[in-house]
Amino acid sequence: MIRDPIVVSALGITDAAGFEVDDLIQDLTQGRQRITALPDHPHLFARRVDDDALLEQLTPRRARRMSRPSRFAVAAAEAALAGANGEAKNARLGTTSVAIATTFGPLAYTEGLLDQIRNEGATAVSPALFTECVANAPAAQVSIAIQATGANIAVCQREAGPLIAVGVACSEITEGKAEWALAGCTDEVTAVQHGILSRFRALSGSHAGERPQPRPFDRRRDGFLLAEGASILLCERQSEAEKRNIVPLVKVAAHGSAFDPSASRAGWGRGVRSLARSLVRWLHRHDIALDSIDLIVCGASGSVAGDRLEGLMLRAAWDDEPMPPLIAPKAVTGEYSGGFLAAAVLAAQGRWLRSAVATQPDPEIGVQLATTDLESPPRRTLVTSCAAGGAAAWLLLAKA
Amino acid sequence: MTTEPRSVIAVTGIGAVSPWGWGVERLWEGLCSGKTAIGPFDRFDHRDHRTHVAAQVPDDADRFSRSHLSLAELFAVGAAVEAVSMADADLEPGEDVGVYFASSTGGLLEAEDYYYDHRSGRTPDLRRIVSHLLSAPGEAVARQLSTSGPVNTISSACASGSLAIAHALRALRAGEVSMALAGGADVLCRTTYGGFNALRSVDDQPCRPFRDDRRGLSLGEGAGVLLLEPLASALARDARPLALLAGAGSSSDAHHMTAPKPDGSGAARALEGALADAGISAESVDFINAHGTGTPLNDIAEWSCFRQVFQERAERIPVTATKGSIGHYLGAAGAIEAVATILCLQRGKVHPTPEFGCVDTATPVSLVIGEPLRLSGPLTALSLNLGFGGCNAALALQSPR
Repeated sequence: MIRDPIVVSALGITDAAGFEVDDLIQDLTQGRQRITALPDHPHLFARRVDDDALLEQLTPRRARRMSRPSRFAVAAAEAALAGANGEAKNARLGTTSVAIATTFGPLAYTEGLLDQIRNEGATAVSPALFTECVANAPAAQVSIAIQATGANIAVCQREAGPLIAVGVACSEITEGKAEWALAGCTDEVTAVQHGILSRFRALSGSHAGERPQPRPFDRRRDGFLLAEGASILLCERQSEAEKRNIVPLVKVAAHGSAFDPSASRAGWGRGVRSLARSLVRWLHRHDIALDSIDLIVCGASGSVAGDRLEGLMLRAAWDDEPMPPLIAPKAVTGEYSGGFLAAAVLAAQGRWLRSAVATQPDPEIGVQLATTDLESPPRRTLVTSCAAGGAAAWLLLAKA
Repeated sequence: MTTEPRSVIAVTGIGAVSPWGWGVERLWEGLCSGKTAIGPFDRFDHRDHRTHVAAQVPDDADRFSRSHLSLAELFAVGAAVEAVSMADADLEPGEDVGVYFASSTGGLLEAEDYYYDHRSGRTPDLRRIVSHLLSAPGEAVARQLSTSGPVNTISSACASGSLAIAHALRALRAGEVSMALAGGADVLCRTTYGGFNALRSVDDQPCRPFRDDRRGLSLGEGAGVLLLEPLASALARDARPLALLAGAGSSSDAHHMTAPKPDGSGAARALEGALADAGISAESVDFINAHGTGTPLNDIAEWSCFRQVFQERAERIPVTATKGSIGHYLGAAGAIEAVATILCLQRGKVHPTPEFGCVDTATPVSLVIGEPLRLSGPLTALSLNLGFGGCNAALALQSPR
C-alpha cells in the first residue's frame, strides 16, 4: 500500500478536437476522427491540429520561434498548470521536472534545415531552425515557458514513449528530486513522414489511396491513422494536491516497460509469451491481481502486426481468466497525437468507457472492444502500448 | 522506523567506439597521448560548410561491410558487446536486463541520404530510413543481446548520455532490473554539423576547452556503454568492479534554448544533486571531467558552476575535458565521458586534454594538459554535461571501495 501515492492532478491537451478535454471526450464518445487532408497534399490524410486556433492559444509572438511540436507541448503544459490552481503554481515553481516523449521530434524544422543545405548551401542554414530540430526542443520550451528547473528529459521510445515518460516523471517525484512533474508527449505530421509510413504500409488506406479507417483489433484493419498533438499530465504527491484542495484525476499506481527482442527494426515481433510474462511479473511485483483490473486501455491502432501482438499478449497474460473490457482510443485519436495518453486518463476517471467505432473482431486475436459502458468507473485501469521496434510499456491507473 | 539501505551500484564493464578506434584500450591510449583525434573527415561531403574538422571513427571495412545496421546502431552494439564481454556477464534471464540509451541523431545520417534522394525525385531505398529513429541504437543493443527488460531512450541533447546512465541507476536501485546497459551512440551528420556551424559554435581548428583562444566546439562520433549491476550481485558472481556509480543529478536552466545560464546556477544544481545523491561532499571530489566544449559561453558558465560548488577549491581541483581529444559526441557525450572517467579512476590517473594554448584567465580551472596526472588512493570524480535547452546532468563516480 503506497501511503502517499503519485496522482495526476491536471491534464492539458493540444488536439485536433481543440484544447479542452471535454472536446476530446466528445470525439471519443462519438467516434469523431476529424480526418483532413494535409496542406498542399489532397490525397494524404491525418488528424491534424488547427494551427490558427493554436496561435490564438499561444499568441503569434510567443509561437514565432517554436516548432509545431514545441507549440503543441507548451500549450498543453500551460493548460495543465491552469487546471492546477494558479496561486499555488506560482508559489511552487522551481521544483518541477519535465518528461516529454516524442517519436519523431520536430520533423518539419529538420526537413527545412536539410532543404536549406541542399538548395541554398550549408552556410545559409538558419540557426533558429537548428535550435528547434532537436528532439528535446519541446521539453526545453516547456521548462522555459513555465520556469521549471527540475530535470528536463525527452523520451524517444516510439509508441511506448508516452507511458515511459509518465514513469520517468513519477520516479522524479518518488525519489524526491521534484515536487511536481509534467509528463506527456508531442508529435507532428508532415508529408514526408506520411510518405515514409505509407511506403512501410503502416497507414490505413494509404496503399489504396483511400481515406484512413483505423480499426483496432478488427479483422479488416489495414494500418493506423496518422495524427498529431500533445497531452501533458501534471503529476504530484496526493498530499500536495490535497493541500491545495485539488481533487486528483487518477492515481498512478505503477509503471513499467519491457522489450521484445524478436521485433524487427521497423515492425513488431513474435514475443507474445515473453511480453505477457513480463507484464504479469510486473503486476505481481506491485501486488496487483489480474481480477482487480476493471478496464484495459490498449495502444492498438489498427496496425496489422502491432494489434496482433498486443491482443495476443493480453490474452496470454490473462490466460484462462476472464479479461476485463478493452478500449482502444487510437481508433479516434490516431497514432502519435498524444490523444492516447489523455484518453487513458479520461477512461480511468470513467469519463468515456466504450468504443464508438464498430468492429468485426479478428478471430486470430480473439479480443473484442467494449461497446457498452461499464456499470461504474473502473477501480484500476491498465494502459498498454506495444511499439514498433520491440519496446512495450504499461501504466496502472487507479481511481483517485 | 528503519529504511532499507540503498543498493550500491557498480560498473563491471565498459565499452567504447571512438575516433581513436574500436575498444576502450584504443580510447585510453589516445586520451593519454595528449594528442587530438580531431581533424579532416569524410563522413559526408562538407565542402560547402563553414568549417572542415571533426573527430570521425576510423573506418573498419570488415565491420561496416558485414553489417546491415546504421552506423549509430553499429557503434552502439560494438560498445555494448565490449562492455558485456569485459564484465563477463551472463545476461540470462534477459527480462531482468534493462537498456537505457541516449542518442541525439540516431540514424539521421542515413535518413539524410533518404531525404535527398526523395527531394531529387528518386525513389529512395527504404533500408536507409529503417533505423532513423532516435530509439534505434538502444533497440539494436537489446536485439543483439536478446534482452527483454526495459529499453528506454533519452534524447535531451548533450545531457542525454548522463541522463540515460542516471535513469539506469534509478532502475537498479528500485530493483526494476538486476543489470543495466547504459550509454549512448551518435554519428556525424549534415544536420548537426550544419546546425552548429549556423550557430557559429564550431571552431575551424580542433576545439580547445578552457583556453584563452577557444572559438567553439568540434563534433565527434562514437559510442560509450557501461554495464551496471548492484555491487553485491557483482561480488557474488566474482566480477571485478571497475568503479561505483555513486550518484546522479540533473536540472534545467529554464533560461534559453542554446545559451547556458551565464551564472552557472543550473549546472551547479545538477552537480550538487549528484553529490547529494551520492552522499558525498564537494571536498571529497578528486577531479572533474568537465563538459568543456570549448565554446566561449559554455566554458564561462561551467567555471561559474565550479565556483559555486567548490568555492575557493575551484581553481585547484584537477579538471579534464575529454572533448579536446575526441570531440563532442552530442547525445553520447555523457556516455563516452563516463567511460573516460571510469578509466581514469581505474588506472589512477586523469587523462589530459591536448596541449593547445593557455588556460583562459576568465576560466582559471586547474586543467590537466598534455600529460596524464597521477592521483593516488581511492578516487571520487564528477562528470558533467550541459545540453541544448538548458538540460544539465552530472554523475558521481568512485573507485571501488
